[in-house]
Amino acid sequence: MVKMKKLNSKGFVMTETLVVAVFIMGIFGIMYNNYYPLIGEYERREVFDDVDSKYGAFWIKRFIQHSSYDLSAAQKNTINSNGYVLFSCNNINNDYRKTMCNKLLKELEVKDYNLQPKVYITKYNLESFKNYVEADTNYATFSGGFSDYVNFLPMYRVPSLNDAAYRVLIEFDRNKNGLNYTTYATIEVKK
Amino acid sequence: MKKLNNKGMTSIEVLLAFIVVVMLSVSMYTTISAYQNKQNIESFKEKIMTYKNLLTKEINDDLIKKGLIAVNVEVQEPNEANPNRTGTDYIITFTLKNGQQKRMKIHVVKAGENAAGVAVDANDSFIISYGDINKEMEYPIPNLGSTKNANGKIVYDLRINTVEISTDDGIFSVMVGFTHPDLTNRYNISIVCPINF
Repeated sequence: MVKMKKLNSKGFVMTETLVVAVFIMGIFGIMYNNYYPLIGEYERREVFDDVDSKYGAFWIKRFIQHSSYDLSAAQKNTINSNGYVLFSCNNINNDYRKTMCNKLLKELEVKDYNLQPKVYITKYNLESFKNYVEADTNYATFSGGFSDYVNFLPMYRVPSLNDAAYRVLIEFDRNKNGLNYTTYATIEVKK
Repeated sequence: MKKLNNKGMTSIEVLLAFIVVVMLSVSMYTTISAYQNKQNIESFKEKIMTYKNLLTKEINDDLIKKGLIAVNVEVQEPNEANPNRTGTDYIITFTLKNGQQKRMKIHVVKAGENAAGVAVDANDSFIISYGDINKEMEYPIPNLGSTKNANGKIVYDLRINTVEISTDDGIFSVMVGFTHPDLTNRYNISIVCPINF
């Protein structure tokens, strides 16, 4: 006759219970630490290429592409030698369009629209511009938010389907309706 | 047969277990409640963004693809001649380069008082409409909850709190600002377009 094995009915000791509890808490802690930054990342990206900024970028692109906007050979050289130039309505050789341009920047809430608008004209491929922004470690030239945005953007290594050689990156300071936050957008420019 | 342990638990053990369960429940409740609140806010944001993107795309498609050549703005609001007018209507007529005319209407009625500060006996009503003249499609702003004022009139949580329109210097701009107790004034519809560019 087979003897039935006697069951261990002692249960767990306190140490075993504590070890398991700590282990489970550790797992939950790790999960939480990995999940929580994702929420922050998602909230941060709400201000990247939002619909208003994208339409704003479109109209600024149209002004740059217009024949009245002078993107000089020297400026093109600056852009191509790994740099960027800042957009200015003063480069428009038509007084009416210049007034329109200034008003457009104001209504679009482009950052520093009345001083030096934060509209960067760069090469279509962002590889060198990204390095340029990354090198500005103490945010002397570019704001922290803008650096994050540039870091978030892809390199755009594949040439534009529209043969665009340039791109604009814009910072918007949203102040309407009593709030203050910054949004960012980019769009290609064919000039 | 082995004798069963029928001693049971002491009242101290029961009390301790009870306290632990209560503490766990309370901490879980706070966490779950915070997440539920966050989920509600995310749901509100999504509804507003869907509404904004739909309307903005509809209007900007026409302004960009067809081209804006002229804008006429008419504001019908309470004034000296009609101080008891319930709300304010902003009527914007776009003339496009292909000769077509489109109209955007912003209808704002606030329960309690009108823009002139005169008491009105009406429910909140906020509707933006857009389309061919007299065939405008209505886009009522999303209902994100409501309360009733002292007169029993409906006051929506999501309201239009400001409308700014400009056509100066050849640039058309309209900003419809929303306000919500949980979202403050963060969200708005903003359309900017050069005229006859």
